[in-house]
Formats: sequence, structure tokens, C-alpha cells
Amino acid sequence: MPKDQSKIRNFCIVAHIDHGKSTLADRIMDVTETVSKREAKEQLLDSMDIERERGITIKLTPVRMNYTYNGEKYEFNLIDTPGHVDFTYEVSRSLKACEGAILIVDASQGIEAQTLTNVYLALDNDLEIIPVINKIDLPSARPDEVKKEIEDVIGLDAENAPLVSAKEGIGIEDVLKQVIELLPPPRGDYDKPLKALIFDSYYDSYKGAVSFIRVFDGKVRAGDKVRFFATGKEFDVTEVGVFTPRSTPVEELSAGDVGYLCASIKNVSDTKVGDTITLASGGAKEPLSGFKEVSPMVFCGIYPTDGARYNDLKDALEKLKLNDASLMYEPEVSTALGFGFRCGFLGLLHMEIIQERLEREFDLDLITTAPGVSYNVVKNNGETVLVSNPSNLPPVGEIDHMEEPVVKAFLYTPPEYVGPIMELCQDKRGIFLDMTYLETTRVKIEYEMPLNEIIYDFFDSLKSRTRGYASLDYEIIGYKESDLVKLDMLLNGEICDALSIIVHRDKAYARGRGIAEKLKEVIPRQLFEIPIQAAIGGKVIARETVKAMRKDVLAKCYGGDITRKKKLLEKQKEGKKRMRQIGSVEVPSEAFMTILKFDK
Amino acid sequence: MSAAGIYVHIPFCRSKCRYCDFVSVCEGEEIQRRYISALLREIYTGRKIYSGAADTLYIGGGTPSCLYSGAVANIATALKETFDLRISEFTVECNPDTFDEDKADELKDAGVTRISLGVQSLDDAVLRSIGRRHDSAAAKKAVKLAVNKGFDVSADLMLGLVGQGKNDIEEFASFISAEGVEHVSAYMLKVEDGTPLACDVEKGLVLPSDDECAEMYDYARALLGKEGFVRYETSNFCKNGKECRHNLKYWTMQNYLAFGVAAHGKIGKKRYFNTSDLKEYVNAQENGRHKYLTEEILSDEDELSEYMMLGLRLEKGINVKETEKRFGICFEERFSDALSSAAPYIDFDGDILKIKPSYALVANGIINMFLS
Repeated sequence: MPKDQSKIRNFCIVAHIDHGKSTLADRIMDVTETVSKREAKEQLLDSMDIERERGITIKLTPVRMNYTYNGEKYEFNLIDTPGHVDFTYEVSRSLKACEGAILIVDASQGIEAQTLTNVYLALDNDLEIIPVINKIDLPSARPDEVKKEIEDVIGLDAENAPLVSAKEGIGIEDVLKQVIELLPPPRGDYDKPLKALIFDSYYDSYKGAVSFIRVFDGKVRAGDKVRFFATGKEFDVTEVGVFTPRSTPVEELSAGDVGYLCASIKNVSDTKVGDTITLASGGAKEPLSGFKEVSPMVFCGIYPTDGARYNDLKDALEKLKLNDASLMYEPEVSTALGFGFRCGFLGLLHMEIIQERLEREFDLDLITTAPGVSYNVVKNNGETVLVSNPSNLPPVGEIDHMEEPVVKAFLYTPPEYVGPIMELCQDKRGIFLDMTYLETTRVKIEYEMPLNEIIYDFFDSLKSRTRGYASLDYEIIGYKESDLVKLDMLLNGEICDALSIIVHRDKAYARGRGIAEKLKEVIPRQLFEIPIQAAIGGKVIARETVKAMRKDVLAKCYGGDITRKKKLLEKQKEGKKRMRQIGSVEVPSEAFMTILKFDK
Repeated sequence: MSAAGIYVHIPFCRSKCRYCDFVSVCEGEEIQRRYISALLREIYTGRKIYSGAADTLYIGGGTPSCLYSGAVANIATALKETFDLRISEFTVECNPDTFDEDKADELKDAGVTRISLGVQSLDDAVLRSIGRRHDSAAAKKAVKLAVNKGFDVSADLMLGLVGQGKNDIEEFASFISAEGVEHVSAYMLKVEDGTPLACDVEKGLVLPSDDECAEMYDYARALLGKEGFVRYETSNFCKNGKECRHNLKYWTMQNYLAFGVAAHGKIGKKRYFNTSDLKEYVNAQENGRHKYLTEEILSDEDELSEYMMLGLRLEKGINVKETEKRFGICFEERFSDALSSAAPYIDFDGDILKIKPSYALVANGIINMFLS
């Protein structure tokens, strides 16, 4: 049976971190009585601990709600979105599943950078946007100014924006009223062949890979044989359903619906975000537009601090991978760090999240090497190898040239920060492409930049130079030849492979010196003097020295109180356990991360 | 088993030095008397825990020299009546401001043979800054008096004090040597939590760096060496073989009994210590309900660790055969990893293991290699 799509509203909430996205979602669920008060857990949508703690959303969770307005029953599908540039692609896919978006702006903070990225993504996807001013209960709230800001900066009419306190439950009904009145209903065709967009997926140990889908045209039921455009694979649908927010099977999902689909799919990598599902026979000819194959862009080595826990790390990665098709890993061996894995991520945040989940959910102590990208290395014999671990770089003599991944970066900023941003981009080897005034208060700058430069502290620098107002988005445009060198760090004369990085020749000197200085700070003084050297192909370009320790003993043993002395020794010994032995040098685990935090 | 040492703790001072976190309070004679009678009770019941011989006595503190007259003699008598004492060394710690002619005679009469004097520095400004009650003139007077009365004398020297210059060390070394002092404890200032000094540091007082302290130590060692002192333990120097026999018992893990508040003893494999709460200690003794705050039986492993930890601070090092006999181990097998990783910093000829003198101040890192 075709559904009355005019009673459906599919929308998402976009907001800057902390502006109250999850709280508003919770209140909407309260008002629509989607979850009873008793089972309402604070911020129900963010299901992972780490999401709740960081106040960010990583996994998308759609919720179906029912709401009666003017005597008519409406069906809402609220789709939560992740809020970080690493997941821009996921965000754009989940936005595509909606017709409209609620834009939350904090009544005291006003518009911030991340807000803009997602607003522009929403506008790109032709979404209708309802601005909402949140946290009006705060003494520092300045709703009128914020409304004006929304009109000036984004160009949205904010005159009738609901004034809300999600925390106190104020104004929620106004929001729902506008959702019904202002957001368009879906306009799919029930009779056309099935076209359903996958905007997320997760792994369930009983049902296999579960796809979150938005049906644009047609219908799908259990028993249908469906085909996935990207892989061409076909599966028998075992269950379709909706989230209330618990997954609840339904007979049919049809045009306009948001729900889930299970088909005994063993691998989440078969349910690619952005892919289109259709029927195996008599299906649609063309997929929905915009599918991209997501591939890891940032790589780093991950090692257990305690080498004996290698297998635990392996199991943990396997488990995470089940739910995260974009996580890649393969075993690698480092002379400095032993057995571990080279892992690939969508971006730095993705990397941090995986590390944190490994440490927290699997109770692992990790050492992580500096993040890098993968390079195309073209050898003299014409062979091309892809290198994501600096240690695997062929000998210099065998290399004809190297290529690095290059992105087109889009930076959105108020005009007053154009200068600092251009300076930063030039410094990061950026090539200026274009600059356009979107409005008098907003500029879009385009740069071509090596990805390698973006993954080192680019976000932090951008934020600090623009007081957080600029936002960044980028897309990979390919590989370009570049004068790259391998920078080695030597501790007491020995190369520490885990500290090696690949870097542009022009940057090598400054980086080498910077890392040497940082290492000097974090490596504690030991019984002998430790030279720290940065070298390119055997030529030392920077040197620092950790002087030998002069004193570590206690004064006298008082009155036979040996316990006191013993405790001190035990404490010193405990400290040593957190060290890695690199040749003769003891290096604290955090040293391997210091090269990541290096700014300049 | 060789004879034990006996340590007695006196928790009283006339005032508290800014760096000190030892158990001591400033109390009048009434409290002192109650403490001493509690202490005597503990001593008289001491036979229950030890019945062998003892040959060194050490009364430390606090400031034993600030006790009322007669107290030390009472302690000595109680010990003599309780234990098989064959005293070869009887040390009392004294502060220059409470060590006068009368006190010297009193201690002499009580059988004291050795005075450990808290000189610390001969620079008046430095002494004031750490809260010592005496000035350099008083310290010199006390040293002369102790030597003239025929005591063996040890002088304490602190290093790494704010404002302390090399001239302080020079003056100290030449003065004590000229006066016939034959033992020096030279130790570096350490900031202990909760002391006024720790407060000062928190408020911004800048102490000499580790490097500067190490420099001072090396300088002191060189000067003392020139005056004929040899270093026999990390912080201890002596002339003419006048090592502190009592302290050596700690450092070679011999038996030592302990009496008084916060005192630590060791008999065989048993290590024990008393409460550091003066009131609690006195009450418990008065009510006949004394018990040690902690008593632990050292495992073989612990005992060996402590033996290594202490022995490696000694200039003469660790005797391999003695160690093997005492712990029933094969030394080179047991410590093969440590011996190889510590190789650059130790002298080891198969019979004796010791830390090279130039690494004395970083001994902890080396000792740690030998601990399991």
C-alpha cells in the first residue's frame, strides 16, 4: 500500500558541538512520547560512551516518531549526523536522506565554524532549514543578536526562529510545528523501481550487516532479492524495520520511509555508505547520485605498550572493523616497537576515536606513531609501490620520484581572516585556486594542498588563527609529484624506525629540528648522554642532546627506615615500565605522539 | 649471628627546621618525661623480641640533646638491664644549640662514645634560611667541645641549600678537619611534602637544580678527600676507619632493634615499626597495649632486593661469596641481565660488585637494574 507521504517529515539536526543537538533530540522524543520517561537515558542517540563523553556523534542513529498536529497524525524520521570533517561524506549522505534540517544555534555562543560547514552541506543537498535558537535560559543568552547573525552570516530568515531551551523543555512544540509547516514532505514514487540510499550501517552479531536506508522510490519487503549498485552483489532481504528507537520490524518500507534493512550480509564493507539498493529483477537502471568509495587517508602504526598483548590488539581491531568499514589495518613490525599494526583512517579524528576506543573498550595501552598519508613511489625500473609506512620506503637510489595525495581544500571564513588563512595555506605548501564572496560576510577560499600538510596540526592552526570562525572541507583530487624525503630520527646513534616520517624537502630541516627539540623535552635524562639527531639519508640536519643525569639518590637512610627508600626506588622502577627501550635509550610512550603535536 | 644494633628515637626538638619531616615535636619537660617512661617500658619488654647481644647504640631524633638531664642515662641503663650489651659505639645526635659543657659531661657519664653534630653549614645566612637555631660560631664551639671531651665526632653537612656557595663547603671541610672530626655525613636537601620548605617552593622559592647539587656534592667529596676523608657510603665519609658501625648494620642488613615513636627495627626476616603518633605511642605504653604499627616478614626476594639496594651504596660494594652464602643463590646467574645492562657503571671482578664512584649520585637507576 502506498503511504501518504505528505504526512512524513524526514529531517536532521545540524549544530556545532555543545550547542545542544542531542539534548534537543531527546526532548523531541519526549514530546512525541517516543521513549517513556522511565527508559529515557540522557542523550539517547549517542549510544557509545565515547560519543557521550566527547559530546560528538560518530554513529548515526535514525529514530521514527509519531506526532499529532491539528488532528492529523504525522510520522517524523529524525536522523542524527556526525559533526566532524572526517565524516563529511557520511554527513552529506545522511543529509541526502532528509528533506529538511533543524539548525541549532546557541543563544550565547552564536554561529561557530562547524555550524557553517554543515549548513553549507545541507544547502548543497537542497535541504530546507529551520533555524532554532537554543539555550535561551542562560543568563548570557542574546537571541536577537544571534538571529541577526544567522541572517547576516548564513542568509537564512531567522525572524520566526523558535526560541528554545532543550534542557528545560521550553519551545519544543514550536519546533515541531515548524517541522510540519515548513519542511517539505518526501515526494517519491511508490510505483517506480526501488531506490534506497544507504546512509549508515552497523554490524549485528545475529542479523549481520544492517543498513540504514532512506527509500526514495518503490518499496522493499522481507523476501525481496535486492542488488547493491556499488558492489553488484545480491542478497535476500530477511527483515525491514524502523527505529522507535529500538529496531522494530515492519512489513514494508516504501517511498519516503527511513528504516533499516537486513539481508544476512556478513560484511559491513558490502553495505557501503552512499550506495543505492534496488531490486535484483526489474530494478532501477541508475543509482542515486553522489556515491563515493571511502578510503583511508591517514595512516599510523599502533602497537601495544606491552608486547605480550599483540593478540588482544588484533582481536580488538577485528571487532571494531566489524562496525567500521572505513577502518583498515594490517600487521607490521617495527624494530623499535615490536609487533603491531599499520592502520588507515578517514582522518585524524577518526584515528583518535579508534585509539580511544581501543584503549577504553578493550583496556589496551597503546603506542601510536605519527600519522602519515600513503605515497606513490615510482621506482627506476618503472614499478610503482604505494607506501604508507616510512620504513617501507625503497632505498633512495631505487626511487625515480614520489607522488603525494593532494586535496582541494575549501575554506569558509568571515573576510577579516582571509589574510591569516592565506598565510597558513601558503606555509602548508598550498596553491591558491580561487576566492569568492558568498555574501559580504562570508568568503570561500579554495586551495590545492598536500594532504600530508593538512593532517599535521592544520585544524588547530586554522582554529587559532580565525578564533574558530573558519571551517574547512576538502576532497582528494589525486596524486602529484613532490620532492619528498624520509626524515629519520636517531637516538644515541641508532635510527628509531617508529619516529621516521616522510616530509617535503623544504620542510625537512624545520621539522627535524622541531622533533629533536620535542624529543629532548620528553626523553628523561639517563645515565649517559643521549644525542638526538634528525637525518636525511644519513646526513644529519639537526642535533640535540639529553645530558646525562647527575643525581637520583636519596640522602641518608634515617633510623633504619628502609621502606621509605624502597618506595622511592619502586616508584622509579614503575616509571620505567612506561618506557620503551630503543637500543640503549629509554623512551616514554608519549614521545611517539609528540611528533604529531608539532606545530610550525 | 653477629651482635645487633639498637636505635632509640627521641621525637623532640626546640624548634622545627624548615626542611624536616621527621617525627619530632616541640614539647616541654613534662611531656618528655612521660615519653621517656613510655620508652623505658618498651625497652624493658624488648627481651620478648630479641635475646641476643647488641654492640651499637644510636639515639637519634629529633634532637636527643634537648632532653632533660638524666634521660639518656636512664635509657642506657634500661638497655643494659634488658639486653646483653657489649657497647663498642654509642652515638647520640646533638644540635649545637643544646650541646654545652654540662650536656657533654652528662653524655660522657652515660657511656656515650660518639656525638653526631647537626652542623649543616657554616654560613650564618644559610643556617637562618633553613631554620636552624644555631649560627656558625655555635656550631664551631660545639664541634671543639665534643672533640675536647674525647668523643668520636661526626658532623652533618647539608648540600644544595639556597644561597650556599662553594666557600661554605671549603670552610666546613677545613674547619672540621683541623679540629679532628673524623666522620662526615654529607647529604643533599630533599623537599618533603608538607614541610614549610615545600610551601616555600610552592610559593616560588627556587632551589638549586639537580646539576648544581651534584656539583656541590662532587666538590665536597673532593675537598673532604683532600683532607683525608674517604667515602664509604653514598653520603658518608670518614678518616682513620671511623665508619659509623651502627649505620653499617642498616646497610649490610644486620639485626637492629628499635625503640620509640616512629622507630624502625629488623630482626632476622622480621621488619617492624612503631606508630608515628606520639600520643598514641605514649598511651599504648601506659595502658600496656603496645603493638607495632606494622610487622612484616620479608620474603627472600625482598630481603635480597634490600640487601642489593643498600649494599650498592657502599664504597666497598657487595661481596659475592657472602651474598651467595646468605641467600643461597648463584650470583652471576641471578643477576646476569643486570650485570650486563649495568656494565658501564659498575666494577665487577667476580668477587666484589660495586658502583663506580663517578656514578654514586645516580646509583638509584643502577640499583634498580638489580631489583626484581
